[in-house]
This record gives sequence, structure tokens and C-alpha cells, in this order.
Amino acid sequence: MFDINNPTFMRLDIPLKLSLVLLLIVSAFVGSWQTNLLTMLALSSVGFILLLTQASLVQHKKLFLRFTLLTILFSAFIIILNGIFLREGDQLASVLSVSFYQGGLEFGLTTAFRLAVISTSLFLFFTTTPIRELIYFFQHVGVPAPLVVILFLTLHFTIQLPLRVNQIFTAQEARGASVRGGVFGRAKALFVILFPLILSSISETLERGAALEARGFRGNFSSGQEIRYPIYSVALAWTFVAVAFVLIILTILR
Amino acid sequence: MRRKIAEEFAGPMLPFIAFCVALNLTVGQITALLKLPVYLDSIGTVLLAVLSGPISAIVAGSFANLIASAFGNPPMMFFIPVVVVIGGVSGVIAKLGWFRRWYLIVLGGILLGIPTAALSSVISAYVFGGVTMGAADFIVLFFRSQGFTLHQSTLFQAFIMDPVDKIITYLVVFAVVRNLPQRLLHRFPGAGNVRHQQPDIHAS
Repeated sequence: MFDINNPTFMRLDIPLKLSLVLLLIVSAFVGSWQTNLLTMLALSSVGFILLLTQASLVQHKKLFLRFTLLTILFSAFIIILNGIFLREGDQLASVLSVSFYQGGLEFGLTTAFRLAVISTSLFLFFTTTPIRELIYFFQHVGVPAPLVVILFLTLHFTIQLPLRVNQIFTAQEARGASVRGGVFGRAKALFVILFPLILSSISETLERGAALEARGFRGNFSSGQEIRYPIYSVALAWTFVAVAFVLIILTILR
Repeated sequence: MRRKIAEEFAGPMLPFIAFCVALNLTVGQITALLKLPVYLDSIGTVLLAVLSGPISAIVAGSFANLIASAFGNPPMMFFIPVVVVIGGVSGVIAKLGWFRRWYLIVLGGILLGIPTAALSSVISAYVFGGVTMGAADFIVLFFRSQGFTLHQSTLFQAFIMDPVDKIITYLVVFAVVRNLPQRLLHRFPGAGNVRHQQPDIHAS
């Protein structure tokens, strides 16, 4: 039975989801645009079903809708531009004296749907995988502790820096820096924003580093949470990896 | 080598590496705010290569590309080989002491721009058909509409944009490290890449 408080997809193990993403990326490169279109539609449907049925994903609803809209717009943009500018093959249609060519349209369709499949699969992976779980997974597979710490801290800075950039931008604008003038004025403004941002952040990172050292961090962790993945999940993950590998080999041979 | 890696990834350096990853991701936001036609998305990688070393720079650049892929720009993860070149070449240039003179920095930017342009054009052409979800796509499209092949178009686009972008990146990093207070600079393993190290008069 489907239990709304026990989200099934969220319980798919990370190795399984990762191998599925790998398979989708490989198939995006080796498949035709028709296959990629179908895959994208299937992925989008999975995404919408998850958002509509699983309470834990409610906060991603708006983000996923925006992402889908952007993907559609971007794909349409690539297809139309290539159809107009790549004058290869037969002329298919002419709208308001603008001609569309078959070769260009096919190239646009292939590229647009390939990128759409890759972005959608990565987006679904990251929205359904809690960061804490991902970091436990990295520890489990033996990623060195300093790299895991860097990932943790990067997430902190990735949230903090845009806020700081906006603060500095507003402050410099209030001080009369020409942030909206000509190209040279704006290039100068780049330094006016970057310098305080980098210098203040370097001080902060050094303080954080000193704090890490003072707390005894020497590049290793105590043994964290032990993770055991069910055998069927591991077997399925390896099957996906094997299929992806076979697809690559077949494409090379072809 | 092992000692060098340990030095680059020592506890106190980890927040700085993380900051450089985030800086690579954020500078794009600043250039977009200012409507400037440059990427500058490897400032963090170059800053790290100068102040710490090439290995941490390569790791930080790779992380930045992976995270950028996760945040909605999937082609970025396929450009990790370009990041490896940027981190490695910048580390060597910094070690040679080129970050002490502005004209050597300009030369370094041009030198770095050539291999990165060649490599990124190959990836862009053969993996993505010249479409990488950026402003550069229009330049590729322009060359293709003029009758050039896909690889020629991506190569021309890369040779137009990459060296300029790398020169600006190097000049920005040069300006930043030159203006770093001595007390901060000396806490980095690569301090000698920026200024000649003064002998410690208190050592003896």
C-alpha cells in the first residue's frame, strides 16, 4: 500500500538513485531525440506525482514547477534557434518569412532533449536526497574526511555568499558607486563588490579554520552512522551501472 | 608529494577551500547583477592555486562544477577536465612567481586561455553539440550559420572568449592577493607565490 508518510522514492537508496542517474545520463547521449523526449516526460511525471503525493516534498513544489517551465522554454529556444540558423537539409516551413530547416531542427531537438533529460534526472536526485544522507553515503564509500568537511562548508558558503553580495551591492550603490553605468563603470563596480567580499570572507575562513583546529579536527572523523544497503538494492544499482557501461561500449563500437 | 597534499588540505585550510568553491558559484551572480559579458567562474580556483596549491585548486574547481550541475547547469560537470587544466597551470604559474608582476599575469592568462579553449571546444562540440546553456551558444550559432563546422565554430568561440576571461580572472586574483594584509597572507602555504618571503628575524 502507498503510504504518504513513508515516501517510497525517498527511501530508494543513494547508490541505486546514483546508478539510475548515471544510466539516464548515458542513455541521454546514446538515445535518439524521441527516446529522450519520452524519458523526459516520464521523469517529469514521476516528479509531479512525488510532489503531489509526498508531504515531505511540498517545499520543492514551486521550485519544480519553475524548473519544468524553464526547461520547456529553454528547449523550445534551442530548437527554434537551430531550426532557423542551421540551414541544413530541406526547408520545412516558413513563418513570417522566417524559414525552418530540417537538419537544424533535428539537431536542436537532439541537443535540447538531451540536456533536458540530464537536468531533470539530476534535479530529481538532489530534491529527493537529503544532504545529510548524501554526506553519510560519502563517508560510507570512503571519501576522505577533509573532502566531506569541504562539501559541508561549501553548502554554508553557497547560502551565505549571495546574501553578502546583495548587502555589499546595495551598500556600494548607496555610496554612489556606478553599478548601473557604462561597461567600464560596471567593470569597476565588480572590483568594488569583489574586494570586500573576498577579503572579509578570507578572514572568516581563517577564523573557522582556527576553530576547527582548536576543536581537535585533524582530518578524520569518529566512526559515524553505519549504513547497510539491502542486497536487492545493491544488485539493482550494479545492474544499472553494467547497462550504462554496455551502452557506452555499444556506442563506441557502432 | 604526500606532505604537499597534507599541507594543502590541513584543517585550517578547509573553510578557505570551501569558500573558493562557493566563490566560483557566486561570481556568476555578480557578473549577472552588473550585466558584464564575462564568466569569471574560475576566480576561486585560481585564488586557491595561488594561495594554497594546484591540488586543492583542482579539487575545489571540480566540486564547484559538480555543484553547479546539481543546481541546474548540468553541462558543467562535463567540463571538469578544463578545471583540472586551470588548477594545474595556475598552480605552476604561481609557483614560478608570475603572480608578483602584472605583465607576467597577462601572459599567464593568455597561456592558460589556449589549452582551456582547445579542451572546452572539444567537449562543447562532441558532448553537447555546441549548446552549453550559456551566452556563448549565440556565438557558436553565429559561426555555424556562416557555414563553419560544429568543431570549428566552438573552437572560434572558445578562442574569442577564453583568453580574455582568463586574463581578467588572473588580474582580479592578482589585485586581490596583492592587497591582502600581510598578517592574513602569511597564514597560507602559498604566501611565497605572491611576495618574497622575509626571513624571520626572531627565528634565531
